[in-house]
Amino acid sequence: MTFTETLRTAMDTTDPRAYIERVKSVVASELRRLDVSAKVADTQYFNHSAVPDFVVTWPSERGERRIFLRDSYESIEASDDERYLAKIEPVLLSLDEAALDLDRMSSHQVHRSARTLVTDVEAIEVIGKSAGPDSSPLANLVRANFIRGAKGHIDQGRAVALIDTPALETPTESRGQALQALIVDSFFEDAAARITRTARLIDLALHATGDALREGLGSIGGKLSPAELRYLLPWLLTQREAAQNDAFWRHVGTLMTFDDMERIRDDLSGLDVSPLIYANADRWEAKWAYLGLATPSLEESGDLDQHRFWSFEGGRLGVDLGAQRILLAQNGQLVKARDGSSSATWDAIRGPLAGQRLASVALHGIRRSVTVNAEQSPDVRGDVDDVTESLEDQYFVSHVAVRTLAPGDTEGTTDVRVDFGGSIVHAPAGASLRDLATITARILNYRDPASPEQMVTIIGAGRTEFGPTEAPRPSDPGEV
Amino acid sequence: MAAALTKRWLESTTYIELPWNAYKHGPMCTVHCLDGSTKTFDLSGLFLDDQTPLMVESKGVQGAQGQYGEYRKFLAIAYSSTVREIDARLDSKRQFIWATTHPFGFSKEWAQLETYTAVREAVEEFPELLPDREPDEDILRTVAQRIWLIVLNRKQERVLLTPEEVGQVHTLLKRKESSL
Repeated sequence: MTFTETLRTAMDTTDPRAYIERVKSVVASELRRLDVSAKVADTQYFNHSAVPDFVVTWPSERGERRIFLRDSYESIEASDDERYLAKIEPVLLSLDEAALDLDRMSSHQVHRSARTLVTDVEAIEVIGKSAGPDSSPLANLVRANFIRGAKGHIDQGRAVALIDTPALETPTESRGQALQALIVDSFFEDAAARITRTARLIDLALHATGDALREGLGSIGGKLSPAELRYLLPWLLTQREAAQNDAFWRHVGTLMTFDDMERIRDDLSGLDVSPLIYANADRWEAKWAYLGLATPSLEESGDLDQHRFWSFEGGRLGVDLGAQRILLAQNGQLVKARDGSSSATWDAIRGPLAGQRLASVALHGIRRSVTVNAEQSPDVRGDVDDVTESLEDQYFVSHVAVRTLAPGDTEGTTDVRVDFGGSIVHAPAGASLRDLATITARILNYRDPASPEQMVTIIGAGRTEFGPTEAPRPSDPGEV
Repeated sequence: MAAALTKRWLESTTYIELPWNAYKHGPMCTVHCLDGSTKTFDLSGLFLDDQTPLMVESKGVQGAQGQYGEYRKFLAIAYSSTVREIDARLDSKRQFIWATTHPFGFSKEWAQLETYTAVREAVEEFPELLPDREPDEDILRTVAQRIWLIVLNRKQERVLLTPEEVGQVHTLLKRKESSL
């Protein structure tokens, strides 16, 4: 049953208490469906002149929206609710399906709050129906912002116009421009800006190249909200034209962080997010990487290409490297070091570490253990060689810390700690995705370091000059 | 508009909730009399503190007009419907409010309009509402106590609590919680 049909059924009782409970339950469910991030609190009042029926809030946000249920547009008009409740900037929701007489209601225009929404159950149904997993991100954004940020008089007809998002996706056309104006007129400034910005991004991703793309992207700044990302990214990543637009994804990388992507991992589950990773491998940072077995194993699945792209599987971002899988995470809860005490011999990792600047190495010999830190020297490689060559012993390495350039535009260096026993890489201050992935694929995986071809899968074509970003060493007497 | 003002004024007292109106919720606003007739009031709801139901007849008028006659029938309906509930041993102790924007009944002293005598005279004036029986003295007195006669002046809207204030007061008083 549709929302309005369910509501009609709920109203089919003369028991006052049952009527209120049933109607409010149906409406609350629809509100929660419209905006899954909203917390809808029932005040237990019904159709009260001053106390709302529902108070909607959003986690981690200060604002709230009060929703007043009303019998009809006529009762909103007769009670002069738009004037009386103007300061509350509420949603006045008519439970009646009768159309809105805009001409009549405009008689109160001078008293209206610019941020009050007057709407009805038919309009809510139209907005709610328009969205879904397969819908355009714009339809989803219109829906997600409706309770939080819609204003003015939005009846069924206007709701239909608002979700004509194919037009909005090409805003250079007149129909798109008219819709853009309608969006601006129907939503708070910030919500309208979010929706139109998303429309602009979609237009550029699908249609713009060269200078037009560069100029268009240059005009889009700020940070994408979780709601925008939740609806925009999954859709764009499945659009062939958009997925191949490297410049576009580089710009998207400036509007969000790796952490932002990780937070909406459930919405990205199974999708190929390689375009985002490749385009932002140097800019984005994370703290953790892990090398484990690919699941299901390639031998079992028989599909060698199954996971040769970055994707969230089971809530964890990874890419397959042969029979293994590299995971990247900002949230330490998503990767766990395995229980292990295996170590690499210094001789075995000397090769993969060639050219890297080492901040510390933990050496474990049969007779003694030595940890060499770069407290005095900018690179401890020479010191490690001194130890291993001067003392007759066989040395195993449990940990090594590689010093790389700080990610993005940050100056300075960052240390990336490789734990061979735990099969995990940790950059406490963050490191670029490229460095984390490369250190994992080449150093942690020292027994079978990734080939140049495999590195293309990991950090993208055009970035095959594998090896972590090397920290400069202007005067490095310790270099061997 | 008068019904909206009446509803807003009564609800702003924080003691009353009037979710129902005759236009959209007829059955909730209707009482049944002894002769089988029904009367639908403009508004209905309840007192939040003890859940007592109430019916409201709202009159937005510029003069007394024919109100006194209508009011007397209102009293007779209140009596007849109350007797019907008592007969069925289902006395809800329903209250009846007559809210008007203009006073009436100038031939009487104002205070007499809510008395046992006024109810008795009304019942005698509309015998069809009490078929085949005499008025009950006790019930007449009970119904008189359940009658509210209120005159509203539109200027009172100026001194109503604002919706924000009503919300704050409700949060503090928690009258609704006590009724759940």
